[in-house]
Amino acid sequence: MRSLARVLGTLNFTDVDCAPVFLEHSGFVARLAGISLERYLTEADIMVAVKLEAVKKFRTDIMSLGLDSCVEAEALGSKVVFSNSAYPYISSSLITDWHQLDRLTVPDPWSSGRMPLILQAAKVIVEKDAGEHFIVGQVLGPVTIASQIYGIEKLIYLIVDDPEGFMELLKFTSQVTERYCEALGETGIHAIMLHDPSASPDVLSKGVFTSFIAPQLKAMFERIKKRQETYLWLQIIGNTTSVLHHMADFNLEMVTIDTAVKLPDAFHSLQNKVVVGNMNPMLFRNATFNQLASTLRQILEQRREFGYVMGTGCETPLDASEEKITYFLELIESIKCHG
Amino acid sequence: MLNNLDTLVESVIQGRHRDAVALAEQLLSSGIDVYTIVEHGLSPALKALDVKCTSDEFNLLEIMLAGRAMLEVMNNVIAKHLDQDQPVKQLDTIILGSIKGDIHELGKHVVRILLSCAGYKVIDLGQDVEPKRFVEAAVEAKADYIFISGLISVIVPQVREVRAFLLQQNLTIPVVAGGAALQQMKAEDLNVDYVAKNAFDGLHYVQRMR
Ligand code: B12
Repeated sequence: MRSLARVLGTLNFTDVDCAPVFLEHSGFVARLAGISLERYLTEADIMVAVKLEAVKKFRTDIMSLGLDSCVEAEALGSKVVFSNSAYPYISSSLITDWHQLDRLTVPDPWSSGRMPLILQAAKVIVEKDAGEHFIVGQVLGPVTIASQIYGIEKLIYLIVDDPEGFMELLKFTSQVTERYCEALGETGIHAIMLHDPSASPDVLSKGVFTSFIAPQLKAMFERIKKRQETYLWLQIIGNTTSVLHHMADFNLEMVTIDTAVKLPDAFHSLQNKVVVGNMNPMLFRNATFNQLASTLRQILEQRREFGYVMGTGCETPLDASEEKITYFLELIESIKCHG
Repeated sequence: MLNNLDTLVESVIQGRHRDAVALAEQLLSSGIDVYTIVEHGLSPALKALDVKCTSDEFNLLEIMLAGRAMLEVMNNVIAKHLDQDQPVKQLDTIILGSIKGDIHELGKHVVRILLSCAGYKVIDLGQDVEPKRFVEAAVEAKADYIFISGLISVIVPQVREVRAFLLQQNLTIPVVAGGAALQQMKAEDLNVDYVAKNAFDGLHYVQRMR
């Protein structure tokens, strides 16, 4: 079975030969190939080469265009600091008061920051892959974009001191997310992963997620769904057990769960969604081969038959071991389809 | 009066910073001295958070709001009314930062807030801090500890360098590491003196060393 068919079958909750596999390799593969992270994140042809190489080398079913957490803020005007060996970061807040939002405009993805470059890379990847894999683009969610342009500590205080201001900020950053989603959809990719780490209940609380973030995300997914047919995928890292029921209510198809969430809990709450997870990618750095084998055994015992993608809860660390990843994937290959 | 001190503790725990400042002012004008306010109005709040931080109840938002309330009382009320003849004992100085390559800052903020609440002088170097800079800052400030935060594993080699820079200058300032990636490792692997499981664990470490 082709990778693409395997994932589409999974999305339809129909029988597939084996559960698809997805590892979120981003900068890790560039580093492995000795390419500086800055070049990988700023040159479309290198981006394309690294992504295609990753899927060829590790033979996973899903190819992700996830990069770093600065793309959207950069398109809004934030200054990004790049480095050869680490992911980039935003050097200072773009706005210091939410009233300054009127200085900002929702960026046109075809002409702002690195967005055009990523869109271009997405088009080329879709073309070169020729329907072999399930290709997913990545957009940051509204809370993370807000934390990037406003500063995360200040954002936390804003929620309590001026909830109205916080909601204004989220309304604006949601538009940034939506506009970029739309452009990514035009490149022909199959799905868009909305990645919102700062929305994690590990960072904010369950209460904040329930009162402020869930309604905002729910409305946003509805709007995106009305405009485009791309599959939608939500990834919020950390322990999201307490908010899974909200995710079940969002108009989207796929949800990634991190290691802190138990697979049975996710299956129970997310019966109508494809669940992706929940392996800890740090194991590719820290675990022994035996530990990797027992992790896989545990996942296989707990997995459900339909609507499940075997994968990590977040991205592969830059300093992961290629040997461990290869070992893990070979192990999957040898046992997953055959019991 | 005890009741009012209890109310202060409650407002700090609940993060009501303006109420906490107003209450502390009221307590002062009713004749309670600053030392009693610190001892019975603020310290119990810090202890209550300590219990939460090490349990499943950990809630970052609560801790940050309570920390802010406590710091506002200390800076806006207590500091202004300290008796010159009987100053609150200045505790040790701590250099803190997220190390080169890492921009995660919330954990570091929590550490800064807690240490400051407990009376330590914290010099926060920010994010993406060169290993050498920790040592330079420690020398400049005659600091007693260096606290390093790191959430991504790729920064481990930089953490290991800090002690090497200290040794170059014949210094033995204890180095404490913490944060999601570092807390999973051993002190000897990181070439540090202590690996803190969470922010309070880091605080307890310096308290034990006194
Ligand atoms: C919010 C977040 C972000 C925000 C950060 C916003 C900000 N300005 O801080 C954004 C979106 C910008 C971000 C970016 C990235 N992130 Co991030 N992020 C997170 C997330 C969800 C929460 C981190 C957090 O703030 N937690 C809350 C604080 C309070 O917890 P804490 O830091 O652990 O601190 C506690 C203790 O550890 C302790 N502590 C912390 N430091 C210290 C120091 C001392 C001395 C002591 C005593 C105690 C102590 O005190 C706190 C209370 O006890 C985590 C996942 C998670 N659940 O942890 C990922 C996570 C840390 N991120 C991760 C990654 C990979 C990244 C990126 C590299 C992604 C990318 N491709 O670009 C970039 C980093 C770029 C860079 N150069 O650093 C990974 C790291 C994996 C790894 N091992 O390498 C994590 C674990 C997610 C994952 N599972 O993949 N991230």
